[in-house]
Amino acid sequence: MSPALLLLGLSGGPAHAFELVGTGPLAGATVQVTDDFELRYHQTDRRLPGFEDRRIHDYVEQVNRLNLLLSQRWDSGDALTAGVQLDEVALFSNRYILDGTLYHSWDLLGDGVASPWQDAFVELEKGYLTFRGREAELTLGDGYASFGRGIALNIKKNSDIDIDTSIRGAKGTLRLGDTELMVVSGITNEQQVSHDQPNIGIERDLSNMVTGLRLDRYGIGPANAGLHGVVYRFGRGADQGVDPWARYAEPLDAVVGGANLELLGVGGIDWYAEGDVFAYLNPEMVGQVADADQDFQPVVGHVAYASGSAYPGQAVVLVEAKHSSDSERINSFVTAEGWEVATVPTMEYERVITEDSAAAVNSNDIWGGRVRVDYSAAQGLVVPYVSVAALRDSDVDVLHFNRSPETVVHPLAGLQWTGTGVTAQLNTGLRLDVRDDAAEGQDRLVHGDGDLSIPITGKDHLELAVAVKHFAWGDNVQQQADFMEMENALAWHRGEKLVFILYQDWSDNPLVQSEGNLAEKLYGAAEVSWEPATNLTLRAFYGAYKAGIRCSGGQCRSLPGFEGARLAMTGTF
Amino acid sequence: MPSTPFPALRALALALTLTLGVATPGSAIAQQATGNLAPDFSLRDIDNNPVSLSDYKGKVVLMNFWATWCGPCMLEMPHLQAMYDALKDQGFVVLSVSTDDARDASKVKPLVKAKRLTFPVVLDKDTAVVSQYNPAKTLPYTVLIDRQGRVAKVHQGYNPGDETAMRAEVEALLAGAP
Repeated sequence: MSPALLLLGLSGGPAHAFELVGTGPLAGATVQVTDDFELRYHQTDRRLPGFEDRRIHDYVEQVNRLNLLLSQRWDSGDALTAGVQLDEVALFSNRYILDGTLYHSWDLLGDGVASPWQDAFVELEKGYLTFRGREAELTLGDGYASFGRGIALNIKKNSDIDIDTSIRGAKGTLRLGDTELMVVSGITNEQQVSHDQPNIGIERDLSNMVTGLRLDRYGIGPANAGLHGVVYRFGRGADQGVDPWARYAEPLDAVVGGANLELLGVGGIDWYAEGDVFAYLNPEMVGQVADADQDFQPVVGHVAYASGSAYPGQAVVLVEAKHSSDSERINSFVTAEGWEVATVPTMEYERVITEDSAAAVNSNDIWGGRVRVDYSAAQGLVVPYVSVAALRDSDVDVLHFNRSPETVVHPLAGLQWTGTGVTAQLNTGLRLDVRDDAAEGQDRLVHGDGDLSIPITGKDHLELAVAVKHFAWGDNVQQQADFMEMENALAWHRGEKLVFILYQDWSDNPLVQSEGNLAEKLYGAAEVSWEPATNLTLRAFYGAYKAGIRCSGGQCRSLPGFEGARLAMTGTF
Repeated sequence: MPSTPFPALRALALALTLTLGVATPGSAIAQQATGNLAPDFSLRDIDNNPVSLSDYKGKVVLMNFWATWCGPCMLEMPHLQAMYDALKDQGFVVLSVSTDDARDASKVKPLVKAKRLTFPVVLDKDTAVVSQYNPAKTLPYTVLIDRQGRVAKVHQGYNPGDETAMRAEVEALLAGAP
């Protein structure tokens, strides 16, 4: 099939894939194309002196993410998978030529990134080849890896907050009976083109070397046991422009080793325990200046994590506990880039994390636990739950707003209900950060979120989603005003293919770097989503939403707000 | 320097050229297929038993990607369980893939118990599998695989009522040639 015909197929035909025919080893293989295309018109209140009446800094951004997946299976049972992700971004409008040179009010590329086109950038973000045999699997190219509970290594795709850092190298897994060995080694490959955030001033990331090994033995009676180790060498500012594979020849920054044990159904409880030890071999990892004339004694950190779950009657009980010390230093070099190489279970309700509690997520000296009890009623269709987390955070380093250690208590309650046509979810809680120094008082957060879907006529139904939180500060180093935030949406599902949505945000958080379009603190937007075929979704959005901190997978990012229009198309062909 | 009028099309053309040029050695050419071959994988289930997609060869598989923090996923699950209960004896299986990352792995089995789910649930802790099937990683994400191991349908997200269409698609595949 010619590329021209293939493009016709992309315009909405029923095909899901293309098959390779012929005689080679790839005969019978299929190729699937997934494409995400988005056009965004960014409005901004920034004005140029002398031109205050014009939105001269508004601009149009276009992002395209193309994924190709080749899949082949042979009669022997062996299989091959290959994937490519090609991203492209361009800025339109607001361009001008001065003395023969093209300028933007917003620069797409930073100084360290070159592109044949000044106003467009194309990046081969990911590429991999995976061969699967009966007992072994080998991936060359970009892959992901996590060991245990992600405490020593947790590099995965986190699209919820637009993080996609992979390990570019090799990953091999050998499965011999109940024994599994995995080895991974490579340099980190951070996503260059953001799909959800504005692409301005794209800078080439600094790659880091990661090499790890995991050995697990399953089925030792009710027990499974594992060992793992990871070594890291991180890139520095001075490494900009240097071959990233040179990291392999440089001294290690950190070594992490750990062990985990799982006992299933022992005493009616599923148990899990893990311990990890961190050794930081370079003073820069612990905030000191490297000095060749002075001996540096490695700094050691550790994490202990355990969980147990029991299922008495219709109840489900989950208990978790952790203690970590100097474990977050492993992320010292990459946090500034907005991602992390490893994360300790946070035990937080991450949806409501604020600027202050984000520091507790990243604490270098914390212990505590959480108990959650679910009650399974009506064959699991109605599930109310209660939960309480209690944490003792003694880290008062720069990330933290408090000057003395604090005790965090966070009770939660909620309900999930799946009825006939009606569904509902509710979560509500109160988080208290009580400081040892009574003069500092306590931070208080009350929050609630809910989602209710009810049928109206025919196949139509209405969905209301509400989320609100109110935060009141104690007396902190970085004192802010108390604030309230809301994120609400009302959706009308017209049949199965068409959805009309109204959004409404509110925020008087002084740290939020955005301004409402309806009023200073009030944001409004509307969106239409249409699915003309099961493999194609079209969306149109106009309005604004607020900036804010968002956490997912133990990682937190400050995401910018948006005002303007978006057109998006997602298709799998 | 001149500007580039259609960078998206340029990128698309480049990618297609690369794909067709590299992936079609010898006499192989591309033709429209009924569905992509579902990439095989091996993961551990919530009791640490190994599970491969190829274990369900010859069955109609509804592969559902979800996470414990995903609200719509929670609402969809009882419907998947009902479909599994009704059709499992006809060669149908729900293969549930938790995309919770490693640090949340302790939460998965309690949730499965609370929801009283009986279909197999596997853990994709490092997102290796979901990255292949759903590069955008939107949740929930459902892939319907026919008896020949080809992707027949894909559903993004969940809205109440979707389960009706999904069940009709499953029954049509079950009625097809084994």
